[in-house]
Amino acid sequence: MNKTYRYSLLSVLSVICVLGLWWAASIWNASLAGPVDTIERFGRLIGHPIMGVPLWMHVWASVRRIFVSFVAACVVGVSLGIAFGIFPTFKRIMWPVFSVIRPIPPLAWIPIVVLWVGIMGDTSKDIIIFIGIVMAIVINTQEGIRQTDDLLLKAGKLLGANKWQMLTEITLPSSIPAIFAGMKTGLSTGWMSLVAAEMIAAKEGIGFLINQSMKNSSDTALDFIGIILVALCSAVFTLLLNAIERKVCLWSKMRAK
Amino acid sequence: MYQEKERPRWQNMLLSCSGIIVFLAIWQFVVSSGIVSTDKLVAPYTLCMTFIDKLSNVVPDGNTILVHIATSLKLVLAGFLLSCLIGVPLGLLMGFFKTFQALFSPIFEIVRPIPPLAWIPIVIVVFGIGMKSELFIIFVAAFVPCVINSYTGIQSTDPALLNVAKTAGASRMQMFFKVGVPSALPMVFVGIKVSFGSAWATLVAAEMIASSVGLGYMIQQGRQASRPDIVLLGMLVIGIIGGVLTGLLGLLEKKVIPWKKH
Repeated sequence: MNKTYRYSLLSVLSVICVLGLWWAASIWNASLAGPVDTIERFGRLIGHPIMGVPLWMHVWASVRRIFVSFVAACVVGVSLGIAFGIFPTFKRIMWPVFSVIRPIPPLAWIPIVVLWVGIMGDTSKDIIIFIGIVMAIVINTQEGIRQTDDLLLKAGKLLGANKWQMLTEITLPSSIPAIFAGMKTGLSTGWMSLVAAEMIAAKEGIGFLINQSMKNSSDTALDFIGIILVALCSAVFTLLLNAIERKVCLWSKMRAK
Repeated sequence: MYQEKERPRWQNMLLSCSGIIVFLAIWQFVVSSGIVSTDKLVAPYTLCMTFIDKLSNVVPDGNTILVHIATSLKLVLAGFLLSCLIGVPLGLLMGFFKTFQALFSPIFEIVRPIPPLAWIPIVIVVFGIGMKSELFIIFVAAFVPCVINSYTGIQSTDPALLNVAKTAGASRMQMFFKVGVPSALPMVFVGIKVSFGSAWATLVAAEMIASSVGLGYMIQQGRQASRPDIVLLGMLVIGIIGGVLTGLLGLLEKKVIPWKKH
């Protein structure tokens, strides 16, 4: 038996073990849904939508929120990161303020945002997800710019590039991998914030489904469906982002090797 | 190119302080001048008063702020340490030994993308509402970054170093402990720092959804009682404690891996 074969066998075995454990746990604790219950529940969910909102509308609500907040966070985060990166005096003045705000978890903003813009509507959720995504992008952009190869900058200067050219032709392209890494970190925080925000205050969305599963006499199958949906959606977003990164930044994979 | 101008130390200090002071001044101004209503935002001065008051006053959330802080800290440290103790060794083993990787990485890939809070409904069914549930959720949140970074760290061990060890006759275990682990340490620490951040963030959410004490509970109660001062105080305390503890981890990192460039 060759090695690759043996290792993939082990992997398959471990996935089967997880499913088996899940199934065993559902038998041991009757209120916990097993894999089969979850599939059944999924079938029922298609036929009988919760609160009159079909399943795809819940998914769409969450995806839309993530998308809007992500685009806004990219614009704001990259600009702010560039400002921190290329104006050291600006950084010196504003960094202390930023460092007090940064460690406040996005979810701790929920109550105050709700006080500001009200609990209804998408604005409160969009703001919270935005806060979740933007911090990582600011930090990574700033760090990427700071670590631009000095040799490249000197070469640019020697060839007579002006400040604008230095920024757009050298500094920004060389920071792209760091910026994308920030976007990916931000996106996973974003999904986490989305679930929390929708659990606390929403009428549709995947987080709402998850919260709903706690209310209807512990409908854990619904929670598992929510978990699987979030995992799938965030995987799709990450794959898209990876594809864009490969297009925008042909050299990043080469450098990683 | 983007180097800061050389300035005397006191000027740098002054600039850093000026940012905070201007920020506080604007904040105080928009509230006292009535541009933003006090139902939505309270001034920094009022916030200080609320803090002093909260040291002994149990309204509206049933405990003084010190009790909330102590409860939150205890929980987060327990969950965080547990996840480091399990996550770091698991990540290192997965990165170094193929068998471990084949066995555990599929399980890990399934668990990884689940947002920690999505566990809440399941955990409540299994453990009930209370400390155990919160501990589990914090553990899951902190566990993932620990594993990923330890795993990546040990995988990017310089092959030349491993070959040298092999040539010198090191056993597989010796290579793991003497070469792999030390060279992975900087990444391990990155993971530990990230995982502390996510443990702290998750704690707040867990307390907001299912708890009756703690800083997250305090701000949630503050919102229900329409007390923006309590909410803001809670946020600031969470921010400051999070910042301070992350700073302490940074100091620890410098002690443990003095060879890393900072």
